[in-house]
Amino acid sequence: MKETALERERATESVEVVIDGLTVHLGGTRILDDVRLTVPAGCFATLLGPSGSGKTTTLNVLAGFAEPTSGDVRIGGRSLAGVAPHRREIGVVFQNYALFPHLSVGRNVEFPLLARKVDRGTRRERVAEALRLVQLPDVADRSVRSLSGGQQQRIALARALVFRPGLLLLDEPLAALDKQLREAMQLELKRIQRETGTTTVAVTHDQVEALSMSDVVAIMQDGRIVQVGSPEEVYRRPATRFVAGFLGEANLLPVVDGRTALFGNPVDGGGGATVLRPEDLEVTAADHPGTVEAVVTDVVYQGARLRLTVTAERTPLVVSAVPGELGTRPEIGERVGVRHRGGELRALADA
Amino acid sequence: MGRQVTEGGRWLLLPPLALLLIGLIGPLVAVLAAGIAAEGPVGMVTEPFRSELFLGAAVRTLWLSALVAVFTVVIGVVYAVALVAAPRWLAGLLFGVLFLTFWVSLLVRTFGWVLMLQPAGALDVLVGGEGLGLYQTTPGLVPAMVHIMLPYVVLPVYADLRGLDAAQLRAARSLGGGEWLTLRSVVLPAIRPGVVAGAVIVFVLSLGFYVTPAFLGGPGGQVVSIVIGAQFGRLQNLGGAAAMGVLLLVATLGLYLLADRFLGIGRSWSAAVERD
Amino acid sequence: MTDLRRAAPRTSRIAVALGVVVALFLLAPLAVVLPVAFSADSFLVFPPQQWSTRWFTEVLADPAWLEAIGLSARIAAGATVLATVAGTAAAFALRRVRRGRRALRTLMLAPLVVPQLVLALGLYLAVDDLGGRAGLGTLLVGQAVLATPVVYLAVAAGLAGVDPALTRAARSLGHTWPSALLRVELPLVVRSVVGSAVLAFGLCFDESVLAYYLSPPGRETLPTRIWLDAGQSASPAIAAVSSLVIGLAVVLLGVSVLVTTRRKRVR
Repeated sequence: MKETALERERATESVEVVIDGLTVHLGGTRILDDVRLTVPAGCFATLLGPSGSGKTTTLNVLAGFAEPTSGDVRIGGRSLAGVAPHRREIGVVFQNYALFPHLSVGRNVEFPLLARKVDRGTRRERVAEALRLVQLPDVADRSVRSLSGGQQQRIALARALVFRPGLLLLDEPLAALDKQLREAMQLELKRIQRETGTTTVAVTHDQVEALSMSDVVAIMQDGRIVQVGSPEEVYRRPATRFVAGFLGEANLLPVVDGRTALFGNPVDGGGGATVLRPEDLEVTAADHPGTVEAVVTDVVYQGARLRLTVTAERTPLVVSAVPGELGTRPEIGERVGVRHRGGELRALADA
Repeated sequence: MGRQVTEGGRWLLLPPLALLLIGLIGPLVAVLAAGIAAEGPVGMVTEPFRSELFLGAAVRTLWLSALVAVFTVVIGVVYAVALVAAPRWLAGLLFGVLFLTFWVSLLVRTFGWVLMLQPAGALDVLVGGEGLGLYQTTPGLVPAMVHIMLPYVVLPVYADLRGLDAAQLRAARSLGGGEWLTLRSVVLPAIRPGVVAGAVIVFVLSLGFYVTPAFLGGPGGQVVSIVIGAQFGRLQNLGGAAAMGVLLLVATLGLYLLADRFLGIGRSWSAAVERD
Repeated sequence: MTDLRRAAPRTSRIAVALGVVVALFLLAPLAVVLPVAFSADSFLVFPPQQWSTRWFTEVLADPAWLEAIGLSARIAAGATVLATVAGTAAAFALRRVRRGRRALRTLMLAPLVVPQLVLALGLYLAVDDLGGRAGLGTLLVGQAVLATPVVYLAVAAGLAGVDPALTRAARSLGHTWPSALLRVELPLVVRSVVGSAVLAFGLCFDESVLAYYLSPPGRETLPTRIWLDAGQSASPAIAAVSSLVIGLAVVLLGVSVLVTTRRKRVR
């Protein structure tokens, strides 16, 4: 396949993004509190957190729409302090895409190039390239209104990437799409990001989105970053209760003498509790060797899995089971055995 | 993303502020200055009241404005309801008539009223015999002014009616309310903002009105603007005229500012225009 | 709205009937002017005894009337330009200003409320104080001030429907704020701007109070001439002129409707 200009320039374009001690005070409240994050070049990072966690404010500061009270942002070593939004060389995809309704698709994508005084021939080339990148090569003359939601998002992406920014910002990229489209778009976004190699920072409150698309996840709470790591790391080894609960269902068990209660598995680190995910636990027949006795208190069929709630020694536990695996579906009140499937456990830092 | 980008605001304000400074604030300050120069800061307020002509005119103006406001509100509400309740083709026609009169020159409309109200004028012909004797009288001004002021009530009230929650209307009916009850409990509260805004605007505008009283008000029916205008036109006693002007200004601007502060008139207007 | 009709049928019927009566009331003065304009009589008599178009030809051939029409048009055009620029800029500005928004909006709407006569007096005095003589330039500025709120309201209403994210998007994509305004915000409110400009022109053309007091003798605008003539003679010439004005209003209204309801083209 013919190498595109984008692919050729990939190696030279990716830049590192450093968020250095951003603090934002507004009207007495501290919206961001010393936020620090280094995003390696070409990496896809996601800021994940509930509303009010400061993730959107961080995005605004990166884009230049909000001034930090203190702290700095550097892209490729170049500080953004005092730089106006239109000179930052950052591409932004807004939550509702913000495509210009009075311009055709092609003119929308061309828009950033107009500000950069690119000549007409080059503009046409780059627009075609960008549309090919998002796999919508034939829509240049259509109106924005005639596109579906997923297509509009891809055009917004094309528009944000056509001028080869050093940083791409995504604001809740999949929030406006319905579920099926969301999964397809997750893969699309990932592919496009890989192809251009653009350092990307996405902002979302949806943990599935964050885990599936990112190389790095930074979890934010009350204006601070509470944990940074790969998706697997933050999911399996959360640092705090909050992170554990935010990323999925969590069974919190106390840790005594370096071992979990109930199951007695060894736990790294010195904290007082650890997290067991529902899929880490297994339900068996009662009195099965190596299991703890439990009573089923709730059964919910969720298509791909059975969500069981059992009580073992007065501790409620949530267990995931594959529907076919158990033979007959357990009933409420039934006695069963529960055990931990194994694997590394790390104690929470704040328990 | 939250924040609005705010650059450019200062530059953009330059043209309008410059225009208003030169064309509105400057002149108003000049009136104030002339009033003070002629009668002194205290005299400026008290002197006009010494003139019987002014006193009479002031009382007449207040009365007239109140009357016009009341009539305009009543007729305006009826018209707005008609606009909403009529079948589409008729509503379109009614709208067309309203906008047409809004667009046709004020002077021409007033002239039309002259033709109607003057002795041996159109109305007299229609009514026949003695004639209505309304020409050049204060009560005769009312129909003409209501004519002019009608859109200022119809538009906000229409906007309110359009914003009526259809579900509320249905609920009122289904709960067994009769027509009057439905109107009273759902429609009237909904149009209150528009009615109030309209009434205030009409009252304030009527206070300062000039054209129609000039043509249709008689020598015995002078309103304040006419009194001021007479002195201005003859270029005598401009100071005195300015003093009266200040009082009129205080009355109109004062009412407007109060209404804007407590009733949000400005917002109501904006909403009405949006509906257009 | 059919819901109101269903919820209060009797009241609706009465209201509609009354509404038609009111509409006739609104049309009455216009309906009176037209026949008189076509009368052959020398005096303002209603109903006209004979019919003719002589007054129209007389008016259109009379250089004094034509000059008045031309003058009105020129001043109205100038005032409209000023008012459109000021009103549009104000509408854009108020979207961006953080503090004092309320006060600014009150200021922008104030010209609607100030008594026209007091404004005329003020303009005269202000120019006099500065050592000049009030003339057509003063009139132009005064009319621009009166027309600005109309443009401001219309453009502000149009802007309210524009997504603020669009401006941010334009900026993030590399455009300075003037470029973003001209390329994104303005095109999206063009209809409001032009529609209100047409309305402003109509208002300025018809403006009579300022014109009457500020026009220098011998250079009168159309409304002033109508005024003066109506005071002196009672000939149907005025009715003829008035009919022409009504015709102009119909045309302007039609233009305005066309402009504001044409579907947006995608470039």
